Amino acid sequence: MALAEVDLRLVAGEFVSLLGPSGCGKSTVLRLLAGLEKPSGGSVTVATGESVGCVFQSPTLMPWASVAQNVALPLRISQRRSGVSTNDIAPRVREQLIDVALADFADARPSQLSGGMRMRVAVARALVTQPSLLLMDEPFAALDEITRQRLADDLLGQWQRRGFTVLFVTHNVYEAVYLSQRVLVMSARPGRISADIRIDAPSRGAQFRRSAPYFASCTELFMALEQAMAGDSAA
Amino acid sequence: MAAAAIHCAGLSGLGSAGLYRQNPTLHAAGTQFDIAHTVGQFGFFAASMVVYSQINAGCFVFGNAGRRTAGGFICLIATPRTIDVAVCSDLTSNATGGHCTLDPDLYRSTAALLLCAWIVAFFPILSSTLVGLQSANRQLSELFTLYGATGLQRLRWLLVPSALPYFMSGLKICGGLSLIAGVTAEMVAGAAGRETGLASRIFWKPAFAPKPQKYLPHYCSWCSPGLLIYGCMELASRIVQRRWQ
Repeated sequence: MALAEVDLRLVAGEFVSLLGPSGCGKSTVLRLLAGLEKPSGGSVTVATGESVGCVFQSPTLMPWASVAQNVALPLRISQRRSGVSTNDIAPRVREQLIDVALADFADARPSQLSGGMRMRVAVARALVTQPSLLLMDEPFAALDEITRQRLADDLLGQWQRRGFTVLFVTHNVYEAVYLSQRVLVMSARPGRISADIRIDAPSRGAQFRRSAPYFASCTELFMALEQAMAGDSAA
Repeated sequence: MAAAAIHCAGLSGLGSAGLYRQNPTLHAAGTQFDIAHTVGQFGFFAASMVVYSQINAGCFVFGNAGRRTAGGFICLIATPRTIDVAVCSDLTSNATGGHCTLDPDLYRSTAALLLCAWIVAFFPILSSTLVGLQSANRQLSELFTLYGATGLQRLRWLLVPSALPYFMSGLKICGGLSLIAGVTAEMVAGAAGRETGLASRIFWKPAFAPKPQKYLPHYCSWCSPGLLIYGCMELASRIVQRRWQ
């Protein structure tokens, strides 16, 4: 069993990070919410009308398709159900590519892009359907620190403008504190939520990264993480 | 595409056999073989090549039709690995010994040649395509699930493009194999005096030109379709897969 007694509630418009050691079931929680796995017990409820977007650890783009075609994929798949007309797809894709600063690369192939740009395409693809819930599974883990910070700022900008709910899986304490309003700490074997820590920040940005509340929250999270892992060892 | 090559192999037998009967002096001419004579026999040789080409082309057409039908059918209903294995092992069995189970009536027709050659040449395409269909990125597949893709959307936008490089590599193998298949088919299913293509030429040529150097140029020229087919396959593969580069 990967998870035990996980009681997780997300409020609309909230940015929540799920933090924990490798193998604690963070990704399983995310997959349960996405409907990619079914729980062996309990229930997962997503409010009616909620649409879900998902970003995986790797960009998982279609190498044979252009950037624009990759971003358009969710719209084309759900075209009949969502009632999006074919004529609307191209403008929406263009608008989304402008949002992630990739408008000039609409016709490029994924192989022509850097790692950070590919991840931006993946984020654009997840957001093009204007989801109310965005699930992200360690999306920036494979990127260098500078690219990671830039993408984190881009994501925060999109979240602040659109107000969707985010569940962000990570094992990086600093990233969790910087991005989130709330961080859930998970312990392993079997995974459960051992701490729920609120991050209070008047604003996000470079200043927050150097502020005392930021480091205080990081310290608090490290301690919570250590306690969770100590609990695992004792068990 | 590869199977197109096979059609070149077999059907030439019909035309060449007729030519052979009409011009028996060609027997004697074979014993006086030299380069000039080879050139002089071009028409005779070309007739064989036509049959050979027809078989190759037929296999190509059938191979592609079979690929589309079988590939589409299998990826829709037979994704479990056990079924692939069943299909592949059945085809392997057919490719190696299945000719013997053909209806004797078929032996008298070009269809027998085509069928035999097709069975041999189609197998690499099928096995490669099946591997390709199962090689689709798992997370991309989950993304399709997340957005509620239909089977057809998944097939069109994920499975087929994922399988294309594998299909092209199977095609290249099939291209070379189709030549062998054409000759083999003629040996297995060709009837005496009828449906004679390259296999017959390979058999009788040494009898009339006992020294290897006499018929070596013929063998070399028979290899040319193989090189041509491989070149075409390589070109097609590059064109089709340029998006993957």
